[in-house]
Amino acid sequence: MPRNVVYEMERTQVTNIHHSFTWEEYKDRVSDYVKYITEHKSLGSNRSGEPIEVELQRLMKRSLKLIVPAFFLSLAMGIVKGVADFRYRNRKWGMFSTNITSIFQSIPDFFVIVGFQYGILLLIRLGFPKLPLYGYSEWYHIILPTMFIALFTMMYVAKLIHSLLLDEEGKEYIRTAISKGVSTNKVVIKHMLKNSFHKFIDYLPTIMLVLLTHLIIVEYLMFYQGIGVRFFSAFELITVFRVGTQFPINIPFIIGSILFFTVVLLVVEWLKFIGKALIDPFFKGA
Amino acid sequence: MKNIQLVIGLVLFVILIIIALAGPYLPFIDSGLTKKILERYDDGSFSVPPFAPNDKHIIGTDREGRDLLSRIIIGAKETVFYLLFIVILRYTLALPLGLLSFFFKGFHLLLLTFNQFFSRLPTIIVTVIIINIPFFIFSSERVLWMIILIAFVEVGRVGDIVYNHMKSNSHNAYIENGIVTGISTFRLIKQYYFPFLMPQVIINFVLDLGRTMLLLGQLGLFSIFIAQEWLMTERAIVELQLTSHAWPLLLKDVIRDIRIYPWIPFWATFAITYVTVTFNLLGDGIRKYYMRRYSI
Repeated sequence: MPRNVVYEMERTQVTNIHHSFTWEEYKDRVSDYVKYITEHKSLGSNRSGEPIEVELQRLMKRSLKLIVPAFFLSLAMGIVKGVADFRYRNRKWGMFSTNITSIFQSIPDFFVIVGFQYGILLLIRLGFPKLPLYGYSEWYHIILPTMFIALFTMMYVAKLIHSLLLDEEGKEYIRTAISKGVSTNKVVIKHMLKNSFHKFIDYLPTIMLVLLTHLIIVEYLMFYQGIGVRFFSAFELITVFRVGTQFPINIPFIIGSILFFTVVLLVVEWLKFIGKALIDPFFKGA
Repeated sequence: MKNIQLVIGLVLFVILIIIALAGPYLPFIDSGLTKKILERYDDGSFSVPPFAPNDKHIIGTDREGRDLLSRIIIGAKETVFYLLFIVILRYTLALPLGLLSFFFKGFHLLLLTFNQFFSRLPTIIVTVIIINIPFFIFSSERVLWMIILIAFVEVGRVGDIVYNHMKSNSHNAYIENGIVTGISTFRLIKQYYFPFLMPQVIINFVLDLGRTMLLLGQLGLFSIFIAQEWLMTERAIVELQLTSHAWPLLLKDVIRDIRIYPWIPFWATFAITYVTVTFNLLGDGIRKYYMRRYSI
């Protein structure tokens, strides 16, 4: 992953701030770093001297506590919602529910959270009891962030299922099943959903990608010290340079957290293949 | 004929354009954006900014005591301008790339590599990584670079849409018809592919405006803005200063504001939401319009 190691130290000059960069220096740095990794069996250490891996592991556990439940929750809720939206698409509340899905999808996640917090603040001012919802140390701190992440991702899943079911509609086998007197519910769930499921599995990595984007925002705005937040603080974008200030960027941590995101996505990719092998009759080995 | 999305989307869009162009001249707008250090009350007490929503400032003020409503309305023009600039740039790159990769294998390989590189991680992460390359941070054309980079990150995705559309269309009978009649490739593209490709491009263009607004908002949350300039404030200090009124800048201190002055991030994100909703509705509406037109 060469693009992750692009960050070089800076040299600042007051008359004209710029950075110096030579390919040789860059090459040296990369090879030094590779040597460091192979010698120490570690990506590096943070400011307090602790190996990055220890810190990463701690943050990873915290973030996984959100990712895993939110992923399965959003899949379950999204599928149910998508099927229900499709089943009742011609009734009033079915249409209403579908519209909610598409409107909710175009509202940024940060607006929902900021609005939610503004609301809570107003409620507290009216005498509503304060609840210990924010933080990251207790088990119940994961409830609210998980709910938010699952909610945002669920909308994506529901829309996906809905459109996949619409694709199946009107195919021969559906008409056959209906003409034989199978109930609509049964047709939708046993035939249509089952048949569009192998297409759905293809989207699992995309769903995870959507989830990770929401994860970063939710962690940041809900004061949950997970890997997403730490990733951004690793860049430490400072706005004032004094002479001699070096560019403070925590390369080992950035590489580590990118590795984490990549591994999460890789695991989902594997899930996809396993799922395909189990469900898709046309799927032939890897 | 019912196309609620298109109607609402158009109305919201027109309002946005009016605000962006005529906003600064509206009577209740403080076009000078005067900063206030102190506010005195009749009973002798006073307070320092930011002021909570009150009679004078309907939705409060920002940290420097500027009226938040005026600030948002004046910032609209700049925000929309950046959006348009980014998305137009993205499409001028992506459209030829998508077309070329349909006709030449080499370009398709380029497109695939591009996608492999940039679309494997969440867009926000990729953007942040690229923007943080020191060369861009210290460049004197920083604003321009930021716009180019943000446009660039999603070129692959758009190119892919164009490519896939061309590919799925190429098996249609009317295209084969054109090829058999022996017309030139140029005319084939212009008269056979384009009429069906263009609606797709227009829809995606409008939806992309919404997406990009979302991305700019997300970047703002993490204190990354388009309009920043290096200023030599003192002899040995160089400072990064914010030089615009675009909305994402209001999210600068979101983590602190959210607990103490929640109206600042609330109304800033509200403005951003207004834009994303507008363009999403408009995009859906246009799609519906074209679907009806072609499904006769």
